Amino acid sequence: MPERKDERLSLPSVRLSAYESVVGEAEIEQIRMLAAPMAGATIQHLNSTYAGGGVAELLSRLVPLMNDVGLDARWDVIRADRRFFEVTKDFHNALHGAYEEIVPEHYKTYLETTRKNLELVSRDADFVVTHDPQTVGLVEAREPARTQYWLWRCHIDLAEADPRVWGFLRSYVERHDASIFHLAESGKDLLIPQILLTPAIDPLDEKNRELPQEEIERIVTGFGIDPTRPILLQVSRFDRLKDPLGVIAAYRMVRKWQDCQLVLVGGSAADDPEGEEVLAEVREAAASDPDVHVLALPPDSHRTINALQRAATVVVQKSIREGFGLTVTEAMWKGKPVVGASVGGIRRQILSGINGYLAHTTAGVAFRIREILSNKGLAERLGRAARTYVFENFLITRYLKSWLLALHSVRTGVRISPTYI
Amino acid sequence: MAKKPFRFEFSLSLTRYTGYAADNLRALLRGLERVPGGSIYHHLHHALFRRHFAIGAFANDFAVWCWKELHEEVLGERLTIIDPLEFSTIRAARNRLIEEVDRHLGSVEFIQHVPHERQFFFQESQTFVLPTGKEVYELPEFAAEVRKAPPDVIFHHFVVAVLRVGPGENDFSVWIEEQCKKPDLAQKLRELSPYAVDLFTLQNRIADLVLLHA
Repeated sequence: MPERKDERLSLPSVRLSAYESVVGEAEIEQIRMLAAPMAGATIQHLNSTYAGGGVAELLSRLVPLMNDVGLDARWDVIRADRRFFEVTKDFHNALHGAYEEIVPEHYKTYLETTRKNLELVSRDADFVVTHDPQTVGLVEAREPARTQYWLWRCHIDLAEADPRVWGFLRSYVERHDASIFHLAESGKDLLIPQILLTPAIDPLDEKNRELPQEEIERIVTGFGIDPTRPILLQVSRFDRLKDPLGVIAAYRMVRKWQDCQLVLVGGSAADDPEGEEVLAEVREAAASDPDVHVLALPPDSHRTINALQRAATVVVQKSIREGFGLTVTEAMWKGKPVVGASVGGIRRQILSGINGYLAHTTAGVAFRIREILSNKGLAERLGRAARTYVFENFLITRYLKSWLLALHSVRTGVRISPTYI
Repeated sequence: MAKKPFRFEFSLSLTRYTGYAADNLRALLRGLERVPGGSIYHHLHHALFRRHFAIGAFANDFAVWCWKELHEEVLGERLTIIDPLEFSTIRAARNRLIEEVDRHLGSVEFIQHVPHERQFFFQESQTFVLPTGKEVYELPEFAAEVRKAPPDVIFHHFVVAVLRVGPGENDFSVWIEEQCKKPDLAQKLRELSPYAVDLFTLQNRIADLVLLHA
């Protein structure tokens, strides 16, 4: 049996009122009004880790904010061994459309671990939220006679999901009252409602808060980057799907016409053999050019990345595939013009020509970068619109608001006529 | 002074995916015939709300998709000029959309298909209405309240009110005419189209007009 977790996770103290300076009094008031009828409702989030990855990052903000507006929110993590995580990693890849050798042993391991964790589910919670495939099976603990609402929050794109794995998980998903996806194109044809909530960034955390200009310049010059010359930046792990070599190729096309420097920033690749390989390829491609800076930073370099984003002239996200590019949102929030590949969620984040540019090819990326570099007014206009777009759609306060609406929706049921709260 | 106050409310919407997607014009037509009414409402009205800082020529999602993804510019234009405010029911709007797409299908030589990520994903809205707690009796304070209201308030009382109070009508005009006895001002507000400007400009125009005629 897994060891039962008795104590709650100690989460950072996050107060909704702290966001008033960013989003305004009216927005905070709206959230409190929306939360008031839910006061005291208990909500349990279940996932597979307290640290690392976007899910844990979002929950570490969402749970304290839910508590601050009067809900009784808690976050629990399943206990599982290495084998279970290998299995769910294979599931994860297969759900993303990659070919994985899935054998009956996979399902057996998944079911055994799920059963051992059933006691983790709170019998008293009004809402239980399972996150991703790792915890979806916990719906086995659902008691039919009890009024308890179950939601499945899916953080991955199921568009090209392997039918064997999806067929196995689907029976669990459809025992929930509703599912939540980032985007419609990540969803499926399900028997339960599919709510859409796009991921958000926290404007007050280390990654996104305002920084003094002196600090930005100190950090940038510390890496040998010249803050007085144009800087192109891509922030992404060193992964072929992020196409760092394509970014270098685009930079070289731009350099034929305009002076600029390129900065490629990614997390440390020590635990990822393929990441190390890609990083080596990128370093080799950049070696002959002193204006290409390849920075492999530790995972907690939030402030450094914040400074680099603020120093950038143009931010690039030349991914080959992308669920939802949080680094795109971060750069847009900082008022930067972003040139993104026309793939996945980036197509929803960037309205090409309005708050950034979408491009399909390396030459297209280079062309848009040149356009921005040669027109300061355009860069400012795109940057302003980008910040406004994030302000209205992708901040954590908006995310909290959407979550509260989702809870109301599950409680009241699907209706076409307006629901008066 | 009005006998009954104007009570400001706001509406918030939760978006859901209906499970219907279209990768070509025939599939779009099938979807228009079958999706829940909330989906027609969402793609007609919320397109306006989401883009209130970036007004484009193609105002609703169906028009944008036909123009941008299918490159059907004629159909895109025909769908664009559909004014959602002229319909008092979702069914009427749905029938008009079906009529336009069906007519166009009869004139095209081949049907273009698009890949998954360029498909039209039918979504729908569930709307929640909440009181803001603000109520006013006088036109000057009404104008001041309109000017500082969040866009959700203007969207609720002025844009989608048509589904509650009838074609060409909105909550502000109803109150101004019935309670403040200012039919001319009420009419001037009815003549403002939310499709002509973004919501921030619209709320200032409403406030300016009210102050001018108060």
